[in-house]
Formats: sequence, C-alpha cells, structure tokens
Amino acid sequence: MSTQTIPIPATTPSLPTRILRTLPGVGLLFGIGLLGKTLEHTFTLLRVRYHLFLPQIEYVLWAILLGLLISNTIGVARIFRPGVATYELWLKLGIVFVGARFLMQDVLQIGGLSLGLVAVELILSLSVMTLLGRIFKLPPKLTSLLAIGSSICGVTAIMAAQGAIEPEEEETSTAIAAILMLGALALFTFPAVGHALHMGDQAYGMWAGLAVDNTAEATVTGAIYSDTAGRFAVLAKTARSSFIGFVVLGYAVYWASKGKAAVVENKALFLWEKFPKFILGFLAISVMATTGFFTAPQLTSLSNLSRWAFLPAFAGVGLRTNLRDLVGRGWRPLVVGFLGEIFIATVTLGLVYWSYNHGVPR
Amino acid sequence: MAHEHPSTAAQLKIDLLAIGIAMVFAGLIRFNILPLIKW
Repeated sequence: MSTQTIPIPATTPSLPTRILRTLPGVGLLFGIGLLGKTLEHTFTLLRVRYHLFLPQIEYVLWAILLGLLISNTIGVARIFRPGVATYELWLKLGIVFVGARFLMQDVLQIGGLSLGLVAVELILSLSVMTLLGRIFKLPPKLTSLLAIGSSICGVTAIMAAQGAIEPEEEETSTAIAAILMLGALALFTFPAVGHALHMGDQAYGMWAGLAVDNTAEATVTGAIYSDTAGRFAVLAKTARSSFIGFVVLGYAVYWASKGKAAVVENKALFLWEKFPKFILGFLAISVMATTGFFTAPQLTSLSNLSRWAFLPAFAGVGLRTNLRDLVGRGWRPLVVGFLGEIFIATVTLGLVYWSYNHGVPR
Repeated sequence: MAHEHPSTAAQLKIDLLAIGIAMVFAGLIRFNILPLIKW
C-alpha cells in the first residue's frame, strides 16, 4: 500500500486575527513606556518635594532599562512577540510626526549639512571597515555587510543588502547581531561623552544621528540626552538613511562584477526600491507644517503624537535586545564592529565640532 | 527573544502603513475632529 501525503496549503491568518495577536505585545510596549513616564515623574517628585538624592532619569532611559531587564531575565513570552515586533511601526510613525517639528528651511539647511557630513563619514567608514575586515580575516561578504550596516543605517541597510549581494544567512545574522550590540553600547556611552564635552543639544543630536547605526538606537541615543537632541538625531539619521540605495547598489555592482551576485539590470529602479519610503512621509508633514496647513496648537498636537508614538518604540528597543544572543556570535565581527564604530564616532564628533565652529547656526 | 528582522518588502509595508496612519491623524487634527493632544 502506498501512502500519499496530501499537501495542506499553508494558511495565513486573516487580518483581524493578526491584529488581535499583536494586542498583548502592543499593550506591553505601551505599559512599559507609561511605567517609564510614571517613574520619571515619581523620581522628580521625590527629589523636589522630599529632597531625596535620586538621579534624574528620563522616561526614555526607564523604558529601555525596563525592556532590557525583562528580555534578559524572564524573557519575552510568546504571546507578546507579535506585538513587540510592531515597535518598528511605532518608530517610523514617530519619525513621520517629527516632520511637524521641522520647517522645510531647517530640513534643507540641517539636512543638507547632514548630507555633506554623511558623504565624508561614508567614505571613511566604508574604507576603515573594509580594512579592519581584512586585518581580522572576516569573510568578505560579512565585511561588506558590517561596512554597510555601520556606515549607513544598521539593520535596514543590512536587510536591503541581503538580496543584492547574496551573503550566507549566518553572515547576515552575525552582522545584524554586531550592529545591534554596538547600538546598545551607544545608548549608554554617547550621552556620557556628550555631557562630558558639554555638547549643545543640536550638535549632540547631529552626532548621534550620524554615528549610531540603527535608526531606533540613534533616535533613543538622541532622546536620552534631551527632547531637542532626539529631534536632530532623527533628522541627521533620516538624511543618512537616504543614502542606503547608493551604497547597497555600489556593493551589488562590486559583487556582481566578481560573479558572486546577480547583475543589477535597472539601477534607477533599484535605488527607488531601496529608498526608505517613510522619509517621504516625514518630508510631507514638514512641507505641510511649513506652508501653514496647521495652526500652532495643531502643530503642538502632532509634535505630542510623535512623543506618544516613540513611547512604545523605546520600550521595544529594550525588549528586543538580548545580550546573550548578541555576544554568542564569535568575537571577531564584534571587535571589527567595535573598532570601526569608535573610529566613526570619533570622526563624526570631529566633523560636527568643526561644522558648529564654522558658522552653522544652532 | 528571537529576533525577526523584516525583509525589504515587509519594511515597505511598515513604511506605507506609518505614512497612512500619520496622514489620517494629521487630517483629523487639521479639521479639528480630534481634540488637542497633550503629552
């Protein structure tokens, strides 16, 4: 007797089911964010009213610390995972709303400055990461991924490059782990350096946006310093992200010329496909704000909406960072990433200092 | 927590959803359908 297996078509859950499944995790994200906000207020109250010696910790840092504590101790239960994964939607929503806090003149001036600085940073960081990859004998495609991730836009850029340069799956996950690990370190080291150097909010925000790889971590690193710094970190990071297509295309052409990746037929289409579209939303809201489409109180509402959208995103950054996962990928990619990041952070700090001492209005 | 990183296609969906939600809220605020939002 022959047995025949009847294939059961894989069913994708319906949209209402998928939305329902995200609710516990979304609740957790907002719960942690609101707890962070409450802790900030409580600490301030205790310090001011009862003169207790307590540190001033912003809700941003509370949200991340609480998220980190959960993900690295009890872990995130399965029921919460679909909702926690929505943190990227909240992050991008927050960035689009932040457009209301920038007039187009600012976007063009500061964004233009960012683009100039990004171009310099790109050339230097791609060269240094490639050199470090060779010194530490990393696989060439892993080196390419680390260079793309650290010079442009972290995980998004690595994912964009994955289809174009066709690395091994292990190389992609190692590069992502290294970028996330280094982003987690930046959350705590950048504000310390910024305070030690008495950096202004705008200069610090620009530095965070130019040097911290992943959009989420760059936004948080800015917001931990101050609200204004967070805003400028978003602007600088957005300018940097707009380069994704060009860098990935460069690597795709390079690997195709070596016969180790598919040839890119339509380069203009490739650039458009890799361009992060949420930037268009950010620009659209900024244009509306500039042309007087909104009244001043309405702009305040949009600005507050961006804060509400960032609240669960910050909690998500902590929840999705599992330090054990990140460390267990071998030391060499981390060392290459770490040395490269120190270089990028130093160079961008120098660039920002130079720019702000040469006539850039604050 | 196991990390699942959205592919470029999935990121496009997230981007468009974020823009769509933002525009809906911007419209609701512009035409005073939503009250002023506080922080």
